[in-house]
Amino acid sequence: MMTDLPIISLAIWVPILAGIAVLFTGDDRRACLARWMALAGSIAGFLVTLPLYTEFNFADGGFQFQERLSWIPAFNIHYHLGVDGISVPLILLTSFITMVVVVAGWEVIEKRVAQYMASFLIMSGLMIGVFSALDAILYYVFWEAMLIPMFLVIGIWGGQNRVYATIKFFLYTLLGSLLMLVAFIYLYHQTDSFALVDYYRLPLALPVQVLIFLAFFMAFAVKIPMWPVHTWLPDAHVEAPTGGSVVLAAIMLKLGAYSFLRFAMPIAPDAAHYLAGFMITLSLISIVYIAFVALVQKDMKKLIAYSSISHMGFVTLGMFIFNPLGMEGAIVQMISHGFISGAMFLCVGVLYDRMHSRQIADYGGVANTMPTFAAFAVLFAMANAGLPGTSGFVGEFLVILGALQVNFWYAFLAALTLIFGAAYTLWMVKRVFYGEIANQQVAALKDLSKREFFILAVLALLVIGFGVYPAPITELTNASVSQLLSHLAQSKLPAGY
Amino acid sequence: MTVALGVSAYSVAMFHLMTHAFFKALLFLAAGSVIMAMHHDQDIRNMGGLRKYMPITWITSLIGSLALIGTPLFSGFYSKDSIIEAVKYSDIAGSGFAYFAVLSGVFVTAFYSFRMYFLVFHSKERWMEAKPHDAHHDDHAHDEHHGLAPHEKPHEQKWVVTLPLVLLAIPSIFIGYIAIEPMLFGDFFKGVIHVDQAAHPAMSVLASHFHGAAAMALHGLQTWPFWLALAGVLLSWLFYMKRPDIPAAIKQRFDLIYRILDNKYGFDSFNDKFFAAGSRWLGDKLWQIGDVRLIDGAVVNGTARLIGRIAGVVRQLQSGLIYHYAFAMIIGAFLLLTFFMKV
Repeated sequence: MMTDLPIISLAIWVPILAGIAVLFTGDDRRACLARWMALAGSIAGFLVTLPLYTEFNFADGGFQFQERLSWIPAFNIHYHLGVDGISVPLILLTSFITMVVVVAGWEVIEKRVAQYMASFLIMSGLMIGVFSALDAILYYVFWEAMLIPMFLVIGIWGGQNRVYATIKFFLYTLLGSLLMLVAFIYLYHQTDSFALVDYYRLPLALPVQVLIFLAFFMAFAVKIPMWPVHTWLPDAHVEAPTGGSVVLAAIMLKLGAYSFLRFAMPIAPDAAHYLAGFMITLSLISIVYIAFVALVQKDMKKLIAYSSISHMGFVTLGMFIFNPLGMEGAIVQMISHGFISGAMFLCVGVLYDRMHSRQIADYGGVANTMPTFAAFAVLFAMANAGLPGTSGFVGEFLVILGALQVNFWYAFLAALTLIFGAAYTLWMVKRVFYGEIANQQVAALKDLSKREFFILAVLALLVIGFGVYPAPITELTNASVSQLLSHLAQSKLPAGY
Repeated sequence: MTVALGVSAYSVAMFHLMTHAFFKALLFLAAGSVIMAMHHDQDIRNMGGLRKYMPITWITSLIGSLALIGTPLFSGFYSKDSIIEAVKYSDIAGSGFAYFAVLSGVFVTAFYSFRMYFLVFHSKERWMEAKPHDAHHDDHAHDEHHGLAPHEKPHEQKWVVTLPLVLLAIPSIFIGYIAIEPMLFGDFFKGVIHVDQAAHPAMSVLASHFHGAAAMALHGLQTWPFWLALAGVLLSWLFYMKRPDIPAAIKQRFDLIYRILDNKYGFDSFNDKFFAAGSRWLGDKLWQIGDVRLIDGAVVNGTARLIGRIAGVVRQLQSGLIYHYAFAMIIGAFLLLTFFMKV
């Protein structure tokens, strides 16, 4: 009976409609109502995504809960949705983080509260749309649409340099996406259809595949972000409000990685193999180069932003070594990084709300005045560094194991992250939390409020829980990853090439 | 212990791991007890005579130190001497040098262990004197008020501190005597540790020489390790109890060696300068040149500037003046008629 309901549509539209409803509360005189409605909306949005897990058929590697309605018949465009083992964990992550962000912004956002909350709710629905769209145009619409709420969040509620940062974010991402649209239009001309499954079946010559892959690459590499198109992320994170950073790091980056798995690689598998060395090189540069850059950052948010880029390098590395360990490691890393970097940005938010500074130099000895908070922050820092027992280790370890099967040096360079990650994270933690109390403002700090404690505690439980028992994620992804890998192993070159 | 692994005496290595755990933990906790009594002054040059004030810590420290240097009957003796014997009977390349090295190690270990013991628990009470060495680099955090005030006296710590010391002192004495036979020559590691007896006969040679723990202790009094350890203790007694002027003179005379040792052979400085500062330098260059100047400056903001400049030029075409547009139309019509019309 559950599977009769259009669950994915509910997952998409419940948050969007809730967001629109919140907008109707009007201005800040009814901010309280807006907050509670947003909370209810986000919880409803989360509950609606739960059946995607509970009713999921773990043995089936294909698309489940499919919905298909004719949308624009003239162009054969359909409202076609479906999820598999790769998208379900990401959708659950999205709806969960949305709840976290609504609670996190409770007291902090004081101006235009309704619009802030509505932005995140609408963004949540749109992102779930990206994760579940199986029609190229539907996917494209969701993909571009979700830029707008994020643009507004950074541009309105952000820091001093927010306009530069948000325009940079928007144009950078848009430029890549336009190339992706070109690829979709080409594929439409080849198949007269925008259905993803038709693209999966379409044979293509290698040069064509390479061009299509590169077009997708431009869009997704900016999103992930991969070196060298990563420079929008540090600016966006630094200027975004805490909630914006959390959603950006936890979910938006994964949209790029997911899209590689869903679009670029299956549509152009030969090109993916052909360009694997290129992708792996970029991933390794991300991992190592960016780690060095993270080491010298003086702004905490910039440091964590660079750390995110480095960790996403692991994801792309895992994807392009084409073995189950790497692929599953990449997906686990995506989920784990969602929790950990979300938590770290929340921690910086906690400090910023009190001291209005993100500069490491303005802090020192915070553990003396905020011991509970320090405990959480150090836990998340350790998880970020990849401490075994936390979810951060699982993904990284799986990817390194997978890389070892392909090439020792890939694994060696990737494993360097364990050292560098620890270096920059722990050094930041040391300068901010440990040692002597640096100044009077630090001495006057108050420890976590109940609300802050609650969010961080939930995230801590998840980080440790999945660190100790990652099976729920891997069980979910097994079948779909196998199916994807066997699809990728087959050549799509037309007969005669 | 790694020397033991090197000569394939694996069971001896594990045995030493265990005995070492007991007496080293004991020594660390005893040091902690002393540091707490001294209000977090860790500098032994400011201590002295603590045996009168901290009897439990004193005796357990002595036990730990005796175990560490390999005093016969204590646990460390059984594990250390077994290692030294195994190295002696090994003929792997380098084992000769290793034997010389471990024997030297016995002497130096005894010397530094009892240097610390004498300076902390015996000799003159120094914490109320003026501190000329506070100006020295202190490796631990600078706590504004550490150290005892001149009128204060150290006192023994609470039972939570001293009970573990006692509990660790007991195996530091006895565990070696009890465990050596089953662990090294018995069935303790049966099925767990395998040694190729033909290639590495060290353990079987040891077994043939072993006549029980008591006999080993007695025999131990006649071996090099015992005499070297004793010499170390006596020399440290001479240097730090009887004639403290001698070490001061040596420090002055051999200043270069002292400074090398004080700087830990320069390893820490090297790590600081090469790895730590080097990484930061590399990160800074990659960031400022790679990210800021090249990617952001040239490409990202550069394209924005370029577009701005092009737009600045092109928009001059949109002058808004009708005669400009009329003129353009006339010129355009002329060009079309002249060059592009197919006649």
